[in-house]
Amino acid sequence: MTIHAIRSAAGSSVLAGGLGGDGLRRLLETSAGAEQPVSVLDFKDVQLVTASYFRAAFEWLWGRETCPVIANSVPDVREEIELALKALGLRGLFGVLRGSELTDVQPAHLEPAEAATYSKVHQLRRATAGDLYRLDRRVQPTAWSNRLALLYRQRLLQRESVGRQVFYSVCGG
Amino acid sequence: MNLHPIDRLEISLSRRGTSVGALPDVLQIDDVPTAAEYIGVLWFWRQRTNCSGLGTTDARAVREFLRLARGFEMIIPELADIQTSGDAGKNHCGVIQLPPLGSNEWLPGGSVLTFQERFRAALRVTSISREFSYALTGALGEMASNAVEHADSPASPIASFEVTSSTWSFGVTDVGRGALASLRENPEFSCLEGETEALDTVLREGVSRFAQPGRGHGFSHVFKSLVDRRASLRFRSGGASTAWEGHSPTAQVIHSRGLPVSRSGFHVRIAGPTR
Repeated sequence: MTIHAIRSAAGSSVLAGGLGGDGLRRLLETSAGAEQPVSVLDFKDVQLVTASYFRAAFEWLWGRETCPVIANSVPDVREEIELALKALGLRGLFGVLRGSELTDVQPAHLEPAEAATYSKVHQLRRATAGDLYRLDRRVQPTAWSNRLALLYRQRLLQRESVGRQVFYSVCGG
Repeated sequence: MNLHPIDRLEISLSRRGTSVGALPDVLQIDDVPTAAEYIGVLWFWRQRTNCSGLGTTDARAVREFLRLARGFEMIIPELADIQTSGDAGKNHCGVIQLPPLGSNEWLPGGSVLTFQERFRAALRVTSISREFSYALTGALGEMASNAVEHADSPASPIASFEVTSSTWSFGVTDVGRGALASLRENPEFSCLEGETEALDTVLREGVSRFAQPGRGHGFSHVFKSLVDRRASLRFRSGGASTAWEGHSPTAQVIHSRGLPVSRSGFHVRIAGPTR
């Protein structure tokens, strides 16, 4: 798990303007080490972030093989981030980071089918499409597989291939 | 036609044949309506700044500016007012020539962020709430970034702020292509016909010269930060201008009109009371 302390990295508690966000992106990309399964964006002490800043600073993370988790955001900041994600057609995970412990990770604004799938994986912690089919036979294994793959592409689940099986698990928490 | 004083000044200068291009820089001196912006011009022009004491310590610089700015008499009284207001020592103001795209000055710790933090610090000295100071600082940051990203300006845009015990204001001025030429880059807005329509359009949520999703939220942030607040706003783009004053501005209540003269660039100025 990689933790980015955003307030410290950005040098301000007010994050506004696409070019400021682009500046932070350049710093984060330069300092990015080996890809970790989870990238925590710790918004502790950040008081404001605009949609333009968020897009410029963080959108690139959704194109990487990692689950971005937004942690410790105050309600106003979370609301703006949710708006930014919606405008970008992205999904987001929100959680709480204490020290290096990530808890209460939950996705925001999922469609009912997405939410049901996420909830089942959360319940099992690690699951294949077959596992979900055994839980709920109203949905065919292929459909479960497609739903899981979608949540993975949205960076809401992690994926691991073991032989011919593909296991999905929740990100952090 | 009931024009904003700055528009009247602009038209007057044009009719007198005063050419902005005749000045030793391309910044539109007659389009900067606040003291902070005049100081910004001064700084840009003379490559110097000393906003912290626009009273006695800057008197020589101001006199020099006024001498150089001969022909712009209409703005002198306002500047003189500030000099003699007795509030000079309490004024907090700042100006910055915004760095270009890709400059390291946009990185954390760079001059732009430092400038924004100065604005926030100045606001915090007044009775403005912490939350509102965050919102205004964010609005300034959005407008500054917008100017550099979209203006395609031959000279660097100028951002400025001024905070007194009773008022706050900030402005961003560029001499670029204006909203019409910028928006026409987006196929969705290629049919925009005039500067007035372009100015009204560019203020709306989600409107940008970029067609990609997630763009065009800068002005929306400005409006959002002023919900339930009293404020005055002025935008000018090319030959279109709008001025609005009241509570809770939105893009829907703002309607621009054409000016008798059209000049390059985009200007935004937002102001309000500290109480």
